[in-house]
Amino acid sequence: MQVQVSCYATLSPFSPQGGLVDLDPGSTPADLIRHLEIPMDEVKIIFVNGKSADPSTRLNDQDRVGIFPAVGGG
Amino acid sequence: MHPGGFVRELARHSHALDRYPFPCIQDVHLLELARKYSIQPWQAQVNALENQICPERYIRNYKTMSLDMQLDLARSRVLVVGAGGLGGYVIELLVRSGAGQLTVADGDEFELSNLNRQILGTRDLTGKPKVEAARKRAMDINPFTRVETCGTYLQPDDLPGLLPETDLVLDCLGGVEFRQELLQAAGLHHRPLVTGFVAGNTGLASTVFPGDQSPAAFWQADRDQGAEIALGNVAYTVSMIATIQVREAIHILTGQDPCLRNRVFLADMHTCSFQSLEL
Repeated sequence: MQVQVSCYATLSPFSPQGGLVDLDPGSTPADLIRHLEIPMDEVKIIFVNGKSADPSTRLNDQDRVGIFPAVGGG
Repeated sequence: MHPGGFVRELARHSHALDRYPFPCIQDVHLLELARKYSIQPWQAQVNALENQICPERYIRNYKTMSLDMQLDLARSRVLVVGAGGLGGYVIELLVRSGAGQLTVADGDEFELSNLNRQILGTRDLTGKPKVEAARKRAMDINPFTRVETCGTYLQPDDLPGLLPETDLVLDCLGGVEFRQELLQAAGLHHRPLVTGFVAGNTGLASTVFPGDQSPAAFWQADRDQGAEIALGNVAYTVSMIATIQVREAIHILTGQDPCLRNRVFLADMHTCSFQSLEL
């Protein structure tokens, strides 16, 4: 299956080429984060299809995933 | 004070404007009446609006804002925590829009590296307190906004004294530090809070009423670990998020629906895409 991924702020260098990643069926955001080699402790919040999601959520084909680090500037 | 006399004089000093269904009054006349009757300018503004007389400076708010909404805003008391990047623009927009009373808290002073984005910062203010710049800017724009300042970084102990006198909190802090404490205290005092947080091309804003989902997960880091430390902050992201915060604040203060409860607004200024995400 394929998911569309956006990594924000300091994590944006981890965004995949073209924004698309192929994953095994049943993969989770945690699997995706490992696949992209993002340090897990830098990920603070994940959104799947525009909704906050747990790293252990089961992803589906064509899901959109947003991955954020800590952000607090002003 | 002589309310009857004040109201009669308000009417005498007001004038009709084409296309507007209410009379207007100019700053100079309303300030003079406030002086004559020994009332604060912000209170004189409330009195004018209660009598369906619009300070002419707000005429272009109409009809986006009704006169009743303008009155709600004139009566409002807002706590702005932080007078840096977000706070400077937030104060600018609230004061221009007609907010009645602001309390601005910040312990910081301007430095050269603030000038890329902080609207209150100017060359001659380097080394000067940000809250003093906020007070002067507000007075230069709108003498009918009362500005009180707190020139120290707020501590948890300060909040029980400030929040009961506040209708709404604007979290314009710089950095992840103190955001959770402020959010918790606002909840305990049953006050809505509108927060903004930015790093580089990524900007976020959210509105939190007591019991709502909050964006606190974004702040789960030590003070030196926010993405803004590595990416800095740029004027176009900061001003965009401050604008969204003020949009939310004015809607709440004037009895309209906020858009960002249980949600976070995301501005990706790299791709120029904007989303409202569910928390």
